[in-house]
Amino acid sequence: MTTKKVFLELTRRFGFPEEMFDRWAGVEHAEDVFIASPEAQEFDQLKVVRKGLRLARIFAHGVKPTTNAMQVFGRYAIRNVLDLDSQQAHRFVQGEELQLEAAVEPGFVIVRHDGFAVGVGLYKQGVLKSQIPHSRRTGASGRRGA
Amino acid sequence: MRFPDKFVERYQSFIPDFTEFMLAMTRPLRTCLRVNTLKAELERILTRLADLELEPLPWYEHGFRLKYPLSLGNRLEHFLGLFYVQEAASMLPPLALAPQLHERILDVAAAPGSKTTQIAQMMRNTGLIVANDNNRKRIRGLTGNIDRSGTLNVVVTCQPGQVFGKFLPDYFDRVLLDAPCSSEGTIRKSPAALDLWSESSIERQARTQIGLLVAVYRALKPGGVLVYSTCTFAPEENEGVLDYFFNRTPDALSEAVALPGLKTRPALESWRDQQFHLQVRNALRIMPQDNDTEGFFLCRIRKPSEEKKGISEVRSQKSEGRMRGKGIAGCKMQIADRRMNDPIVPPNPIPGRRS
Repeated sequence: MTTKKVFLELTRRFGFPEEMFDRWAGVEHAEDVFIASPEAQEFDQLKVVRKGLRLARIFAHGVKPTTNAMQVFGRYAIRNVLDLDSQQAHRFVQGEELQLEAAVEPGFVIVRHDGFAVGVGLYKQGVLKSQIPHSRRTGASGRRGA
Repeated sequence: MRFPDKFVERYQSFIPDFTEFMLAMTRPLRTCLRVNTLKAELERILTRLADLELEPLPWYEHGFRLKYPLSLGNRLEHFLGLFYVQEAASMLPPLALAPQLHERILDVAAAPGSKTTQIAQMMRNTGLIVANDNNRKRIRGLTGNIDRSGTLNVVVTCQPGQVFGKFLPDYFDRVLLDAPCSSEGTIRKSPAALDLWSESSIERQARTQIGLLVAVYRALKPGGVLVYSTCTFAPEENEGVLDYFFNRTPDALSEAVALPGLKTRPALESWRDQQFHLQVRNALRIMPQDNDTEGFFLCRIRKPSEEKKGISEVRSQKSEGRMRGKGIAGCKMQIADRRMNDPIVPPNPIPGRRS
């Protein structure tokens, strides 16, 4: 699956503005697609550790967006968005599973609180599973930012 | 906290208000943060942080100081990347660099990424920032902070700083060399830095800094700007490094840096038996007792554009007394992030605003 298809798939699932990804470039690396400014994407003069931010991972049957990228783009989503109250949001970022009914399609959803995109969850049959990477979870098991 | 005798002796010799300096050095530092406008508008974020009773820093509209000591790492707003805990003085080098939209920037010693992510914010995620650190272990902290800040214009490299001059000559519009240093300025935050203090380590650091500065200057485009900064007071690592650099690089020009609202002091003109190059006089010292920050040192250097090169060579030979406080037109700060709208989507397609 190419970068273009990942952009299209995310735009379709979350109802992003059609032009949103136009000013960004994709960088494919194994099963991952990174998103970067076009100037960053073009840089190939030296060996690099990475370019931009990881946007999504490609699976056989679909695309899994990352929490880090959805914290940037998630505010523009209009479909498959789940709004949490403050208490739920705190539990979600600690990696907890939440029981709740929501009018979203089963699969990956963008979780928001107070209009801010918190991250990516997996919603199925009344259960929201946090997809926040362990390294970013807050609370006792979380790693604090530098 | 006990300061070595040699530390006291050397700084007493050129800091006129030495007692105030020492008092400030032993006072704990108040926590500061930078609001990350890549994630949301300033006002929206400040509303979320209202309980912190933030005090604005007079010299940077996105910098704030906490009224009371508090741990911020477990706040939801920290997880959301809405702010970055960053020392007030560490926000200054990017301001002196004044990156513009769509430029190519090199941050030579970038980890853990506070200045890299600040530069990305000022550029509204446009252009290119090569964020380098030669220490692989520190790269992890850098990428973590890039992730949390929502930074999209950064390429991370793990190279010795010297390679940029060799492989990318005349490539970058701006270069930030926030050099590894003896970190005397951070003693307020981490008194452990004092245990490692010695004059021999200062000399060692200065040699590394000279090597880096000479090399990364080559990576700068003609007409480009380099900011050299350290968080130390040691003249060998500050004026001494610049003195060596300007003697060896006669075409390079220092520029005055305007940081309204911040009290700065001029660089030293001499130290012990050494008289420093005239170009060093545009450099600034930021002392802890002046603005209640860490100690810092910075200098803005411009590589002349090709057509001006011949002129500057003549000027650098006969520039007696003309350098101080003057700068050139480019040094009037134009901070990119004051003038841009939405960082992510081009105008119009934001939901709800579409026609």
